[in-house]
Amino acid sequence: MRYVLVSCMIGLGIGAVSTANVAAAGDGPWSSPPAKVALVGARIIPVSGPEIASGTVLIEHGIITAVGRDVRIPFDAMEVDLEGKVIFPGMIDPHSARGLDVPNENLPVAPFLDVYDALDPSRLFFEDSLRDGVTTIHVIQANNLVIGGLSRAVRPIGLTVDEMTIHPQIGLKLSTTPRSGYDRMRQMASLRETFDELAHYESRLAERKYEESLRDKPIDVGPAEARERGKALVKDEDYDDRHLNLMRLKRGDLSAWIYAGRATDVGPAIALAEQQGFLDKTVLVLGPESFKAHAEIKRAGVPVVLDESLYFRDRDPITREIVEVFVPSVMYANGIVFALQTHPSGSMAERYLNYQAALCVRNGVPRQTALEAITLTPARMIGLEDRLGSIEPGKAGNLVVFSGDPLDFNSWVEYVYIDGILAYDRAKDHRLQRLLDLSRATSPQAPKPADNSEPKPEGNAEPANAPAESSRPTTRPQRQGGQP
Amino acid sequence: MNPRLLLVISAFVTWLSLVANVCAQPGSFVLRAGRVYPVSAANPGPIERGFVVIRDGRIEAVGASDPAMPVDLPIIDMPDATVIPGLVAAVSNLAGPHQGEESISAAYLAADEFDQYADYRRILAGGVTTVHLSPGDHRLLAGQGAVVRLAGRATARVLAMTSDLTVNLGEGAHNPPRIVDLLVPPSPDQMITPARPQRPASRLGQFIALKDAIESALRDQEPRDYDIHLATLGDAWLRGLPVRVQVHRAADIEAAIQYLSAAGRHGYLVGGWEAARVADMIAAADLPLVYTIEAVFRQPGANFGPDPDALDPNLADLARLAHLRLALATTTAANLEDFRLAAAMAQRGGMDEFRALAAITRIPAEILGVADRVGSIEPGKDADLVILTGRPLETSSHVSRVYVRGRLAYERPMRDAAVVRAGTIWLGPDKTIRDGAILVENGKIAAVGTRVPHPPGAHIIDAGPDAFVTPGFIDALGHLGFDGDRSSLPPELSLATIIGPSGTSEHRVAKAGVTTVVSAPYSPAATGSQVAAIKTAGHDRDSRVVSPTAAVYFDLSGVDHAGIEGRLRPRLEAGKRYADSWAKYYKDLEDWEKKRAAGETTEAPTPPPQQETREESAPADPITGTWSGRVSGGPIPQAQEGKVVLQLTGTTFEGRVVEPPVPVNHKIVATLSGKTFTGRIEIDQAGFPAPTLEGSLVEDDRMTGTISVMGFAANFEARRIDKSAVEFRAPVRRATASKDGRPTPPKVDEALEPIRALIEGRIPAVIDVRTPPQIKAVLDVAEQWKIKVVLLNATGAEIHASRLSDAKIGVIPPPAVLRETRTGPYHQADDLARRGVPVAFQSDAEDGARTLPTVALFAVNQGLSADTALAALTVDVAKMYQLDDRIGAIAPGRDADVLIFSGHPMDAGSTLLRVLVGGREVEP
Repeated sequence: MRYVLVSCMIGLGIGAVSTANVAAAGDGPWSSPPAKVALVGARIIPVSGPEIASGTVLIEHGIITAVGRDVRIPFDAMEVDLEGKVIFPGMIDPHSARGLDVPNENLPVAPFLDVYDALDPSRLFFEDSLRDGVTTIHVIQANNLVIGGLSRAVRPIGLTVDEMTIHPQIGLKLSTTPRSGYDRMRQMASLRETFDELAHYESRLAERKYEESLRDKPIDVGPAEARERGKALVKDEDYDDRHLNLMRLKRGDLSAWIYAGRATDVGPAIALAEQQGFLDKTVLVLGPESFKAHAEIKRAGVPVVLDESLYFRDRDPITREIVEVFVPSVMYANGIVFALQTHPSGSMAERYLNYQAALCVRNGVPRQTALEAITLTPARMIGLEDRLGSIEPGKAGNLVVFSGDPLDFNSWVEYVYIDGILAYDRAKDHRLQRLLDLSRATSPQAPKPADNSEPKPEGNAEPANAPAESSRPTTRPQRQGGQP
Repeated sequence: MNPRLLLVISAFVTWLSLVANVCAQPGSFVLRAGRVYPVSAANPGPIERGFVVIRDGRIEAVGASDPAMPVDLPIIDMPDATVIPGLVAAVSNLAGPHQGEESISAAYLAADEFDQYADYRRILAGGVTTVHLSPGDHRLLAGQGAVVRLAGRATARVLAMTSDLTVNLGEGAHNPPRIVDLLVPPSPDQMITPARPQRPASRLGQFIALKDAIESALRDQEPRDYDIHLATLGDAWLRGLPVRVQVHRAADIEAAIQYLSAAGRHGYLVGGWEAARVADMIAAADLPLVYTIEAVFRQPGANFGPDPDALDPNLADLARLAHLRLALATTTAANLEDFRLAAAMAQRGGMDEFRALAAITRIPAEILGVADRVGSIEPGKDADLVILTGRPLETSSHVSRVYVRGRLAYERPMRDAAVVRAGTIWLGPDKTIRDGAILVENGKIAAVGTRVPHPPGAHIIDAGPDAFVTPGFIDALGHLGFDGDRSSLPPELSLATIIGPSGTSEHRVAKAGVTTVVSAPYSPAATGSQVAAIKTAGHDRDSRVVSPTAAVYFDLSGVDHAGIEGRLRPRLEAGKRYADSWAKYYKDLEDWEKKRAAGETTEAPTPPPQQETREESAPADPITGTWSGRVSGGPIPQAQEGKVVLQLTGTTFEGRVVEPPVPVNHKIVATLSGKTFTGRIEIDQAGFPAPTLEGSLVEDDRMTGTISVMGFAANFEARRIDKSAVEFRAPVRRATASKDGRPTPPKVDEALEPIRALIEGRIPAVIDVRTPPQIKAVLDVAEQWKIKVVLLNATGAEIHASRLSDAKIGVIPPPAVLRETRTGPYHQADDLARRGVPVAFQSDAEDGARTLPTVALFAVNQGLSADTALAALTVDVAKMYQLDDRIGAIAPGRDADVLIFSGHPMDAGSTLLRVLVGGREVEP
């Protein structure tokens, strides 16, 4: 159902939303994308299992139903030949505030907020994410806060936030690193106050509910007993906005994303999660220096999202020598599960998750760990590992087709499939075409239909004798101007 | 199995397990030091030659040298070091003031502000290992303080998460900001309220506000609205946390004392710049006081300006506070690195060293409630130790190491510098410095005096008031380094060329105090051999060679006195000519440089020979050009291809090999006669005779022939590939002048260099002579040639004593101190010395030089003055060999060859404690 909606929107070509530029634009009459897509002939990196040198991924109704060397392709499946390409799971950005209009609210403690209200689908960030092969973004407030609001997981396509949404409530953002204008003493006092006040509120609420349950009868027990009895009577809707999300965090419905920007903030973050009982639902968002607390992180067993700068450089206070540490290596050596995030500045190489993973491999982190750090690990962190993060039957058809190995920086994203829909085609990426002046150069290879054995000359007149559109939506010619 | 083998194996296994044990516990060792100050109540110290046993980061035992020291721990021995407990700073600027707005709140924990992972080595460098963190001095009740240590495992650095409730009395905490409660969203039951003012606005309000807050915190356990600030206050109050009152004014101190006694709380005062006025009240209330010293060291402090109420701390107050439980601290503005120095200044206010030391270690630890862990060196406490280079509170002492929980937390990078302090420093006969010191830097003596610089990082050796420091002894003539080789040494060779790092025999000599040996061959060449002055300790040649040619050594003992002049004159004449050629060269060079500086002609007076380039040859020239050819046969295993350029001038031609490149200077010279040519290849420093060429031009532009060398012959053939003339540089030849007229130096003659130095008066000649006529002959030659001589073994020297004394010619008597004569034993050194002749001691042996100090002792025993004996071992020898600018004296610029004795070296009871050669200590 979701893909129908999305493709209708795309097909309508409404507005100049970014996705319309990037996604395969239909030019009517409405052609719903094929219910079954078979991507054949590519090297498949499922991440969850061994690589398949040349195999097929079958996506039915947006869900991967088969992966392997010998997959029986249904007769009604659209077959896409991806020979020489590499299929990789759609990458997952575990922590980003860039989809929001501003990264932080100026209220220090605001668990009643929801990023839903600030997500802007027209931000170029989403278009960039798609172009870079990111199919899932965990949009969460940035680090300048004490307690932030609800985060959500979104796809980088869609015209409204609802369309984009994969999961509406992932977690809450907290920070043990002082927000601007705060020092650590005030930050920690604020955090303690919030949770102490929650406990106080809950006990008073329970007491009130018990009193209400007695109707007009006089109170028969003391306040402590009344609170105990009232606990069972409290329902979720009895909570006010200020406390509801905090209660759900403590109950384990939401995950805690605690920013520990310095090593010394890690201990308090873990202590807070432990005291409030959500350590098992905690993800630490680290700063560049925080790796020094690796022993504490390891003991707590929490996964971490690393800072986008993977190298940490420190100056010795006595000798003034600069010491360089590659943070993921430290994490790997200590057995800490980590995810990589993108650089907030779009002009840095670190904006690419696969570049970040490649850096890890270069510095001695095993390839599998590095690949998981941009796919499966973040999927687990946002609690969607049953749907995202690898190429396995039963998972969503979120795939990135690279021209070569994903960790080779000479390869680029050719196609992105989201829920089985071709959401990005490099050949039709107008901005990239203009930027790289690709029209004058040789056109990038379009996927060839499997039955077309003869290699075709690339480029210009190719669409004239294209096979039926129903089987090859991805190679449909794009009109200049695009509007009907 | 062989039982002995079994024993060895089991010993090895035991040793291995010990090593493994030690390696597994880096926080376990025995620290041995010159002085240990335990600073405990029972034993303030110092313990001389004390030790501290540290196991697993804790102190196990402390005491004076003990036979029962554990054997399973490694020993760190620092005989010059002083050990004190890690300093405890009861005031620091590492936390606060917090940024909350509440005037009274216990919610702000200073421990939160502490960066556990930070690198605090800059503070550790001052000896501070434990600090108190304060939430601030800007609010009436600012929060809860903490006590932390500055090194060690990050998660174990906090000693007390909450150590006190911090109360500030005085203007600083008045007029706190108004509180605005932001309500999101406002609702009928949560209304927006105007900004709430807070107390205190003045002194009047401060105690009312405190009482009010504490009472409401205790009374209202179940408030309608949760208030963390009061809730934490009530909690802390019930836990009985001490109250830390940060206060300066006498009136405020008085009020604080009354308040605390009324509330029944224990606490302590911090600051107390006016405490001396109410000292008795504080004493009566039994309140401890942390007195803050204004530590303005790094730059002058700010102006007080016209403010008449500005508080002015006064060190003199400390005398009036002496009967209190007094700890010392610096203000928050101060740099914690300077804490020890600030406390040292408390001595100016009348505190003695022990009280001041306790006031920065044990007493603040007690006040802060961490005395069970830190603050003194007692069994059971954490091994937080500071290693100092001198007395704990001395200006010139520095922290060299800091241990926190038995682990090295800071180590000052050591400089190549040392300070030797001793009761007596011997500068020369009857010249000593009492209670002096020597600064050694980079192997040289940098300063001598009663107060020398003590740069941080320098090793400080305090030898004590009885110690006696002399220059290193010099063996006036020995054979160390010749290893029994009795062959004669050619005049052009110096022993210095084969000197390497010092070995066992050198070490034996150095240990005895002989730091330099003038080492001569057993038998000198008839034309004179070089003797070298060599240090007995050093790690390479440069550090060991004082002078490769300290003198020229002639053995004339077997020459008749009439023949002496004849033996010496030819050598001296040759040397003179050689020296003159150099003198002329230097003079010419000077003139030339003057001329050039004046801008006069730089053209050579006559064109230099062989500088011209060849003119282009006639076209019919059959030789000139580039030839490509190959050499094969004979000893050459494989044919060699190459290119040669040749240049014909008349009937001779000259050439060079251009391919492959030849790294040495060479020249092909040949004579052409008709179609055949003969010649040779001149190669610089080839080590074999010049190869000869024979060949003929077989046709136009083609030649064949043979090259022969040392009986081998090889064929060559070549073809001319280019006929153009080539220019090549003239062969390197010693020309008298170069193109610009610059004079060229004469050829160096290694054999005559020592004689030249002798003629020029740079070195003396050591001449072995015996009889008075021989001595007279030598003295005559010396006078005539104006050369310096040292007489060796001059048994008849006393006859010429007045002449020797007038000319200041030194005598090295035979190794045996006494000589039997008809009139009885004769002590030549004593006799000559009394008559004003400089004398020296020789060993005439290799490592036998080690006994030289005992020989000198015997000489003193037989009548020589002790100071003369010292001079004969040091400064007088150095002067004889003109090495006194480097060795033989304790003076700035000289090599740091220093001996430390427990008394005068010629006193029987004195022992040689330490030997420094080139600033480095010789291992005993």
